[in-house]
Amino acid sequence: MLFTSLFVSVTLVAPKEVEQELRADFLEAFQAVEDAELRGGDISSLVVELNEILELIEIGGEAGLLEAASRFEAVKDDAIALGMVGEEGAQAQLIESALILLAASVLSLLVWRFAPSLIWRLWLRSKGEWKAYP
Amino acid sequence: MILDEKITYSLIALILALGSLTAIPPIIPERVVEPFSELGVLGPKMKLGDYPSEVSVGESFDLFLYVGNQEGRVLYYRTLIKVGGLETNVSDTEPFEGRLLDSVDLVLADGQNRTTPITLSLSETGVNRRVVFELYMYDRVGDGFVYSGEWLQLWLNVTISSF
Repeated sequence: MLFTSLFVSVTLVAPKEVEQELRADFLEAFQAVEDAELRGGDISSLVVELNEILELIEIGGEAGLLEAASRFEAVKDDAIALGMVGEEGAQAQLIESALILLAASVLSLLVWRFAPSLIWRLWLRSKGEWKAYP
Repeated sequence: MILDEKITYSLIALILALGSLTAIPPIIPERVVEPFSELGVLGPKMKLGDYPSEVSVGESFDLFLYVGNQEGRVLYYRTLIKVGGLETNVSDTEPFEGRLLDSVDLVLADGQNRTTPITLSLSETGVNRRVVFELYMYDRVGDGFVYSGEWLQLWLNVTISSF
């Protein structure tokens, strides 16, 4: 839909206006990438894509502008998908951290309960044959 | 039994410390202590120092623009290249009021940098002309580009073309 309207725009409207329209769309795509990063997504491939779109807008020409217009939707869709992946990763990491904390707490309790007797038992086993003289 | 308690407490403290060191970094995300952006201009051979000092009117000269992002987040940068004289001021807070020559847009993720080739030409003669490079960042809240305070300048004498 957007692509079709931009196609009509590129062919009918002055190039400067088309470029401004594309730059507005670019900002939307950039904001989608910003959101994806905030949600923990790996946005490095989208940054490359955005810079390529910027170059196409900069170069101008009907073919370049059309190609730029056709790539915005893909960037936005990818950003949403990457954001979701990032969120899932963050959740998994949170669960992992909670499990580590739980394990550390359980271990602390076990140490609290059993370590003193264990240490003394080991000490007695190694030094038990010592004799004390008055 | 004092020794017994001491050993117990020491072991518990050690385990808690190790547990915290393992568990806390994933929970708390990395924070950028001092976020900053980098702006640099390199000469035609991509080095610092071989800048042109004298050009003819209409003569093209090549430079390289370096921008780096250490802000801790992805940013949309715009570098404005302006030309002017000594009559207008430029500072970290106020942009230069010269005539706009060109602009360079780019998006950089945190920790990335990019060197972009640029070709400029000046249309007016003059001594001590200033070509000023200013870095702007897109601000989502204000829906516009905000001057970052990073700027550089190149001094040039622009002579009449020999052609």
